[in-house]
Parts: sequence; C-alpha cells; structure tokens
Amino acid sequence: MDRKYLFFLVLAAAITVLSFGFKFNTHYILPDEDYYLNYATYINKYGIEGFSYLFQQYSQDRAYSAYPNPFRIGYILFSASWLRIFGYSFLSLAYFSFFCYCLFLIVSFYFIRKYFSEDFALLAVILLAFSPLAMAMARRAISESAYCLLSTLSLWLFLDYVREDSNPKRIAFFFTYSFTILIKETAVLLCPFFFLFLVFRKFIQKKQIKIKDFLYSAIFPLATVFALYVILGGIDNTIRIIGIIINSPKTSIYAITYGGGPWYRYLIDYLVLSPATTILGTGFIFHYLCLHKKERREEVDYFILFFIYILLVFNLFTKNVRYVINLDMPLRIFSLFVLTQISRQISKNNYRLLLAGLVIAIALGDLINFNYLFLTHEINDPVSFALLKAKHIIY
Amino acid sequence: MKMAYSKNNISSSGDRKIPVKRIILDERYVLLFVLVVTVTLLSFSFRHASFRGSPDEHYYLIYATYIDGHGIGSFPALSKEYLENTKLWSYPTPLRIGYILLSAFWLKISGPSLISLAYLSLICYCFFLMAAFYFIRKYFTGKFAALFIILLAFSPLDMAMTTRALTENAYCLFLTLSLWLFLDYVKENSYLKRVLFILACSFTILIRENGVLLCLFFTLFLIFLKFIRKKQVRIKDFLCSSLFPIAVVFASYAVFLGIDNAIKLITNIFLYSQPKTYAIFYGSGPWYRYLIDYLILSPATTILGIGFIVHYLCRYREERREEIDYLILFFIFLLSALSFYHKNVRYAINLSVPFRIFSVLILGKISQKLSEKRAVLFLAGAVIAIAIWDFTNFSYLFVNLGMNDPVTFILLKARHIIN
Repeated sequence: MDRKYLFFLVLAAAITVLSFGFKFNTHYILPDEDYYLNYATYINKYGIEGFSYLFQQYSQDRAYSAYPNPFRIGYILFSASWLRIFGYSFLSLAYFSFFCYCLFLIVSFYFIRKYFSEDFALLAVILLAFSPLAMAMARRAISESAYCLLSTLSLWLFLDYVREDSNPKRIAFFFTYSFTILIKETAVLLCPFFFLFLVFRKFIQKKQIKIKDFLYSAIFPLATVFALYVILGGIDNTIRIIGIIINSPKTSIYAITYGGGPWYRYLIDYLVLSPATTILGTGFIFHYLCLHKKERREEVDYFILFFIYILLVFNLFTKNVRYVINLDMPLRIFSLFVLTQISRQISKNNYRLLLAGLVIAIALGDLINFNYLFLTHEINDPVSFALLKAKHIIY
Repeated sequence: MKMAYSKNNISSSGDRKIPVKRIILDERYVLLFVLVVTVTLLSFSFRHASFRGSPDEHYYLIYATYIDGHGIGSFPALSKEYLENTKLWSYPTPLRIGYILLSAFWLKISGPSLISLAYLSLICYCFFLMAAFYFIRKYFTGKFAALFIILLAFSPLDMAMTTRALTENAYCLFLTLSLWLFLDYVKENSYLKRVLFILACSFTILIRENGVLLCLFFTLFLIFLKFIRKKQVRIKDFLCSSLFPIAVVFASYAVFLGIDNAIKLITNIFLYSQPKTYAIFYGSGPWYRYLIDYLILSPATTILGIGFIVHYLCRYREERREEIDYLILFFIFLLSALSFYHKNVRYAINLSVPFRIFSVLILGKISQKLSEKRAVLFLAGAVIAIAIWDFTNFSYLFVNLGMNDPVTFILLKARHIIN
C-alpha cells in the first residue's frame, strides 16, 4: 500500500481516538483557557484596533500578569477567526487545537519524508500521533498545539533554507518564525538557537554562511514582531508588558508552587508521559556522539543541538512540560533511529516487520498513558506534581 | 571482528590504549587515595548525621545487642518473639541472620549504639569499593578501574547509606561479590570460584532475604548463555547458581533458627507481613520510578548510563562482550524484578555499579574521536567533574537537608520539583 494512504490511516486513527477524549473535556477550565476565549471574543467584537485596549489593560492591571498576555497576537487572531466560524465556546477553541495537531502531523510527515524516507516518516508519525502530551494539548483551549505546529514548521523551514540557500525558503521561514513568536512569545528563545546553529555550521562544519542568514534567523523576525507590537499596542505598553513577562515567574504563585526544579525535571516529566521514547531518545544522543563523522547527518546534529539547547534555556524559566512540547518531535525521531538499529541487530531479513511491531507497541503504550493520565485522572495541566501523583510516585 | 570493549585493546574507554600511565602511576594508588578522601569526607558528615534512627535501625540494634548478649543459641528465642508479636511483622525479620551476626560481632568490638552500627556500614562500603575495584580491574583494565572507582566512591546513594545503621552497604558488598564471582566461575569453570560464589551468594541472602532474586537472575543468565550465545552450560551450573545457595541458606536457617521457626518466618513474609503505611505512601509507582530517583541523585551517571545501554544495543553485533551483556541483563532484571515490590531506591542500590561502569564506557567511546592527550584529559576531567557533582548532591541532600530515607517524595521535594 502507498505510504501516503497509510499516513492518512494513522491520522484517521489519531483523530478517532482523540474525538472520544473530547467528551471529557469540559469538567474543568484552566484560567488560561478563559483568557484566550475572552481575548478572541473581544477582538472579534472590536476588530484589530481592540489590541490597543488589551495591551493597555494587561500592562496596567497586575491581576492579569499571571495569565496569557496579548503579545500572542497570532494565536488571538487565529482563534478569533476560528470562533467566528465555529461559535464561541471553550470546546470550539479546543477543536482549534485539535486542528493544529492534525496539521502538525501532516507537516511532520512532509518534512521527515523529505529528510529521511517515506517509511521512516510514516513510523515517526505513528509515534508522534500518539504522543500523550501532544494528544492532551490537542483537547485544551490553549496555545500549545498551535505553537507546536508553527515552531515545528519554523524549525524545518530554517533547515530547508540553510541547506538549499533558497530565497523563497528564507522568506517562508521569516514569515513562519515571526508568526510563531506571535503565537507564543517564548518562541523568541529560538532566535539564539538559529544563530548558534549558523555559528556551528560555519565554525564546526566549515560551511559557508552569509550575513543575511544571520539577519533572517534573528534580527528580521524580532524586528518585525516588535514593530507589530508597537503599532498595535504602543511603545509604552509593549515595554511594560515585556517587564511583566520577565518578572512573572517570581510573582505568580502557581509558577512558584508548580514550576520549580532543576533542568532534568523535563526529563522526569517526559519519562512519566512516555517512558520508552524518553529512554530511547535520550540514549540515542549518546549513541550518536559515539558515531564517526561520516556516519553523522546534519539534520540529526541540528535536532540534537535543538534538544540540548531547549533543555538548557527552558531551565532558566518556570518549568512546565507544556512549554517544551516541541521536544516531542526530536525525542520520537531519535527513538525511531534506535528502534531501527535494534531491529536490524535482531533480524536482518525481517527487521521492517519487527520495527513496525515495536513502533505500534510503543504507540499503544503511549495511548494507554494518555488515557490514564488525561482522561481517567483528568489532568488538565501536566505539571510534575499532577503527573507523579497520577502515577502514584507521590501521594 | 571489531571488539571495541575487549580487555586487550581497550583502555578505560574505547578501541585504543590511552597512555593514562603517564598521568597515573598505579591505579591502586588511585583506589587508596579515593578511599582516604571518601572516608575523611564521610567522617565529617557523620557529625551532621542525626542518629534518631529509623524504626528499622532500632530493630537491627536490638537484634544485634540481643545476640551479642545471649549468644548465637538465642536466635530461636528471637524468632519466637518476632512471630508472637504481630506488630513486629512490618519490621526487619530475624531471617537476616547474616547481618545480625555481622553486626553483633561488630558491636562486641565497638559498643552497642546506632552510630557504631553505622560505622559497620562505612566499613562495608570500603570493602565494597575494594571488591568492585578488584573485579573491574580484572575484567576491564587498571586505568578503567581507576576512573570507575572515582565515580563509584562518590555515588550519593552509597555514601548516604554509610551514615545509616541499615543493611544496605553490607548487602551491596556481598551482592557485588556474588555477581562477579558468578561471572568468574562461569568464565573460568574453577572449583574454588564455584565454592566461593555459593558462599557469597548464600551470605547475601542471609543478609537480606530479597537477595534470593539473584538466583533467578543467575539462572536466566545461564539460559541466555546456552540458548542465545550457544555456549556450553552444564546441569551443575544451574544447580550451583540457584539450588545450592538456597540449600545453604535453608540449612543455616535450620541450624540457627530451628526448622519450625524458619518455615513460619518464611511463610510470614509471603502471607502475613503487612506493608507499612509508610511503604504504601512512599513506596508505590511504576518501574521507572528508580530511574527518576537515580536521576535526582546522580543526573550525569544516570543519563550517561542509559546512553551507553542504548549505544550498546545499537552496536550489539559488532561490539558485544560477555561482561557487558551480563551487566546490562542484570540492570534490566533488577529494574523489572524490583518493580513488583514496594519501591525505594535503597533497594536498588546495586544499580550504582552498572550505571557507573556504563558511564565510564560511554565517556570513553565519546573520547575516541579526540587525540590521545585530549582523550585522557577529557576522560579524567569528565570523571572528576561528575564525582564532584555527585558529592555536592550528597552533601546537599543528605548532609544539609539531613535526609534519612531517600524516598522519591523527599528527593523531589528537596529539588523543588514538587512543593
């Protein structure tokens, strides 16, 4: 059977499974979800000029500082359009996340197929589709799924333009990345990563890098986003909101109570969410470091650097595994590499069958975990405390 | 065939010999140095250790004092008292003859106190380091053993247990001896090694009854050798690995406790021993809970250890080596077997050794791409940095915060992962 049909089969399976999960969705609404719905409703009512008021309100009322800020213009606009079509409700906004999750799978399939192979992409998408974190976020009315989609697209488009040195790709990356920052301001942290990767390419891989690459990877997207903030909200409000965002980890009680811990907290969270992929994925990084230069691939270098960078940088802020949802993709790609190697070690002739079996087993395990954690235990925000409690690691 | 880990061509790490000799004159001096440093550091931490003593520690002290006072012949009376008082069933059982005898002997020399019993743990820890060093030097190389022992000596969990009046260090010492002696006898097929193994394994079970799980592991390893590695394994190997040690243990029970008491105590463990509320509250969770605990205790060795296992499984056909197969199987077996019981990272203290062997191996593999000089510097630097990191972790968790029992809840709280 054509792998593309199989891909649609996986997508259909994921959609079917998740749509069963939606009936449990309305028990408890996160305050963040409430804010997003209000923002989107407000913009639908007052149009794009309404951002000026949202900026002002957020920058002047301290009560707002612990909740999503109106810098997330991209997400607010997206959700406003979505709500206009599908009606004003939390469930409707949750369906928008679900839609982004489906697009994320399609984008991942496209790029993984391009950089690796069709078989590999299909198996990777099976693992991605049943990621407990991605599935859980696909049923909440928050920005994570949209952020995951756009940040993944930015990551792949950056690699595309750097490798192919094509101007359309460069411009596509510029727009996508700028929009990612407009979905969630933490995407700004990807700028230093893109910058570092260019430095890595120039000095370690000894490849040619032009000044405009540095400009497109960091300066232009930031300048565009900042200009947009200033146009929509005014310079004073923009500067005040930046100050609030920087200080919010120190002032938010929720962040202080549930967002502390060392850098490896994310590994613990991922271990609880998906033990197999976390162990295999983390282990792969060391296996890869042991390989000879000729066995290495630029795409893998790129994702390993991304993985390490995200773990280190997000260590400086309030910790919640939701914020590092884009680690899911590298972890699952790495796991698949390991599974492929192990299957080849076990059986050279029938390794494809074995590999498919292993991938399906892990996907099933992940699905059971999703069901247990997010449907049975109704975890809304996957903070470590809730995850560990659900697994009886703590009482 | 490329044998990246083979004894002859590997130094501490990878394919080629690294002239560590230029830097380290003799690895035995490293062991001596490490022993002096850790014992000195630990004796400082003894001042901070609060010997309130957990209920288990008090029971060990009571048992040892009782046997010390009334002689070996009083084991049946001790058992009877234990069996008659249902409240005692949640606490250590008198089946731990090995540890009770060892501690009674020690208390005779050093006086009956909890701190004295903790010093026994410290002594066991020193012997454990020496035994681990001896066998690692034998199966890998001297340079490898030197790097390994630096990592092992500063393992936060092993160091923490030396300040407690518990069985962990004695259990760890004898389990390590059994583990390596078994490999010795399987590889060398020597009569002396076989007898030594049976004695060590039996004593491990007499120290702590869950040492009996080892017999299952040894049997599984023999099956692996026979059917996967197609090696010759005789019936007597199976007997020596499981039935003989268990027979010796039963004989010891019969001699010291009396057959009736022994049977009642064993039945009691399986049928009536009620899990403590403490165990229910702090000892649940899935199999990977041990990985979480180890990640908090020693993040670097845990991640590197996992990295090595994955690397080895990916390169199994090209780079396999029996000792590593053995350690990986032991690692997986212990994680799986212990997931059926109440969980506490103390019970999985023996994972420290494979974790640290794997860490040195993966660091060695990574350093292979560097020039010889740089590889030596990288390896030594990485190992010393990890050891210092581990020591600061020990110091923070067990000295500054005064943690007595490293249950996950307290570890997570200490690291502010939960509040």
